[in-house]
Amino acid sequence: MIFAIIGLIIGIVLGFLLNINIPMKFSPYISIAIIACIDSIFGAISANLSKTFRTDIFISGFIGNAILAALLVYLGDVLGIPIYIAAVILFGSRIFNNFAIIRRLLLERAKFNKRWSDADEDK
Amino acid sequence: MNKRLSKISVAVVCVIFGFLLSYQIKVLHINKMQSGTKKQNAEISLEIEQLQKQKEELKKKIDSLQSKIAQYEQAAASKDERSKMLLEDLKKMRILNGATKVKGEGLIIRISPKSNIFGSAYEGQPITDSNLLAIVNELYSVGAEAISINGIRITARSGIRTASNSIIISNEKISYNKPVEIKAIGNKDLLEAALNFPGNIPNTLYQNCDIDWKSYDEIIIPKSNELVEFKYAVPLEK
Repeated sequence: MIFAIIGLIIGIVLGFLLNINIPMKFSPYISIAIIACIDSIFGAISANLSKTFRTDIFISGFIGNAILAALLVYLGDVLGIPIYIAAVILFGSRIFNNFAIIRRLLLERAKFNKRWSDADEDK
Repeated sequence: MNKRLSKISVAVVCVIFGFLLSYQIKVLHINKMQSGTKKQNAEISLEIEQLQKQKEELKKKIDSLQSKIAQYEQAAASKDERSKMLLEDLKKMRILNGATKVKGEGLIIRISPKSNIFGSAYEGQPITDSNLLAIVNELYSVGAEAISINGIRITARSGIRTASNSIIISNEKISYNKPVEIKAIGNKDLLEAALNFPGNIPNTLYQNCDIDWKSYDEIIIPKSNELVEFKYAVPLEK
């Protein structure tokens, strides 16, 4: 968790300090990349909470999703149809799904802890 | 080892995420800054007002200078017969150029776009540049000597065309959904006959506008505001 927050801060600082110019025509790619990142992070959190986190799945998922989404954007660009919306919608729904899982796990955990503490008091 | 790798991988994704996020925010901010420097409508209209004032003042200046020139010409012409003839020629050329106000018999055509009974304004352009061109052409072909549209003198070098949402006549704008007044000096009977002849006024104009004309014994047509300057044409000497 700490690693993640440190990474986030480093990234934000880098983005503000580095003077990298990404051409305007790549903005759909950036939007896809941002949403793929959010999806991966939420996936990681939920997997971590349900203790099924596996590094290889995480990395391959992130890279693979990003590449597939970029391909969709490129295809959409070539055909003149905004196909990348499919990727945006899918990533969006996955983010909400993962968030629901996280929510449920955290709530259950809170309940569990409370029951434990209640049991302690009963003793 | 595996735990550490997993943490690092998440961190790397977070770095990418943060970078993209801040980059996008930065780009948006820069775009906003750039659009903020564009002039606002109010500023532009203020500028137009100032420029119009300037134009009026400059016009007055031109008038006073031209009257001075006229005085000099009179003084020069009173000396001998030859310069008097030259002055006569000059006057003719001035009328041709539109460099002086002229008066004489002729007629005034008023074209006013029809207002729709149903309250909604006519969609599109009720008066077009080609309509005006056709009328001006007819008038010239029956010997009109001077023509003005909404006070803009038509000279040998003025063009009539549509640009964006107005008709431009020798660099001055007139609106195509406001009444237009065409003045022409010439033989008034001939001018009227030309307008009465079926087909001389375009049909589309009849559909979209009310047109009426009246002949007068004296019409005043203003001078053109254009500066006559020849950059390319040089007389061929034999």
